[in-house]
Amino acid sequence: MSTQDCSDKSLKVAVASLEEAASVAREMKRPGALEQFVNWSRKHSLWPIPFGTACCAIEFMGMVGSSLDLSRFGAEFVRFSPRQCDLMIVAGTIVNKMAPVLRKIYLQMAEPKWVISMGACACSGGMFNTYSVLQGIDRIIPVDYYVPGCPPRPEAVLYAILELQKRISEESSVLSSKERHREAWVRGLKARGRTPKSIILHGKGEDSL
Amino acid sequence: MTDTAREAAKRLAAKMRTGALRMSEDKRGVVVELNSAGDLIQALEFVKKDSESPFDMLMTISAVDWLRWKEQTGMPQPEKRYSLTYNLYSMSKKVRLFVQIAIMPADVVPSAVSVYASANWAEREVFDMFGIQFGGHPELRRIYLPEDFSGHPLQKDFPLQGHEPQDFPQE
Repeated sequence: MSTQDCSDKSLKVAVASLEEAASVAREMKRPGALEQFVNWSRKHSLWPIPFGTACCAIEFMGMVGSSLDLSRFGAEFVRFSPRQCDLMIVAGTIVNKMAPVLRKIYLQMAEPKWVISMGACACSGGMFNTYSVLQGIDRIIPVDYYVPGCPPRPEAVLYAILELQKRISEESSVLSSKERHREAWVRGLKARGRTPKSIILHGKGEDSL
Repeated sequence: MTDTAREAAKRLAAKMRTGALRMSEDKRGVVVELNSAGDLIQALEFVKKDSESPFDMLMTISAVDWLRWKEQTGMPQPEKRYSLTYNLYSMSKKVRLFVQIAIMPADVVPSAVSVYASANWAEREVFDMFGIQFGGHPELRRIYLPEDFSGHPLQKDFPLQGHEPQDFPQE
């Protein structure tokens, strides 16, 4: 991106300072310095989108509220537009009828993006092992972190976000979107003792991501 | 409160043919059990236009599947598999009346939409969950579950597990 692309003045200033910082990183001639810089920027400016469908969303409110204050870690703005977000927090029971909606919103998010599955229902269907409930959101979207609990304490989700920040700082920021998805998915599955083959993708076969 | 409903039920019994219904009372209130589902529409029309306490609102329709009731509870097994309860309310007198019918799986219940417009969605819900057919319903299709869902989950012989769809509908 160059400064000519930006019409907004404040954005111009921001891009200019970013370019300056990037050039400083380049000049340091440390291997991976630019990558580190990009990751550092990303991890301290997560924009969460809450996908709250049940009581976990109330705990999520506790996390962004003033006493625990998620904004201390740079994830200040909770946005309800997937285009403006890079961290999806799925908080609540996802029923089969909701599954395509969840997936659509996930696909609408811009790269790079991460997903935290909050609570037992989002992780595995929880106590709702029934005809109507999706048995874990990792059947339809890749998940980076699973937070157990019914509902988990806000501190537990904060911990997941801190862990995610660590992971972001170790990530290769030049991975293509597909590789990133694939990696996140497989990592999530391994965490749950599953193999990628047991995953049912969204009606298009395994390559649809 | 119960008196008002009881009187209304007595007036209903006087209008219907003899032996068409059986009255009982329990903690819920006054229950009118119709012996034949064919009398349902007539009975609902009568109580809706009752002279003293018109039951002008259909609150809900509830259904029960009595399959394996005796095996599981030791209580007497009802003759017919399903029972339907029409939960009626009188806005002026603030009392309820329960009209009940028992049906077999193959029976077609006459739709109450012509009497109470709110029966439309209530009957669709009963159909969705129990698979009970309502004859004369303008649009009897699923209301909660996905259109391509197979089976009716509140039937007692519906499997508890293993119903996750293999493929999710396209967005």
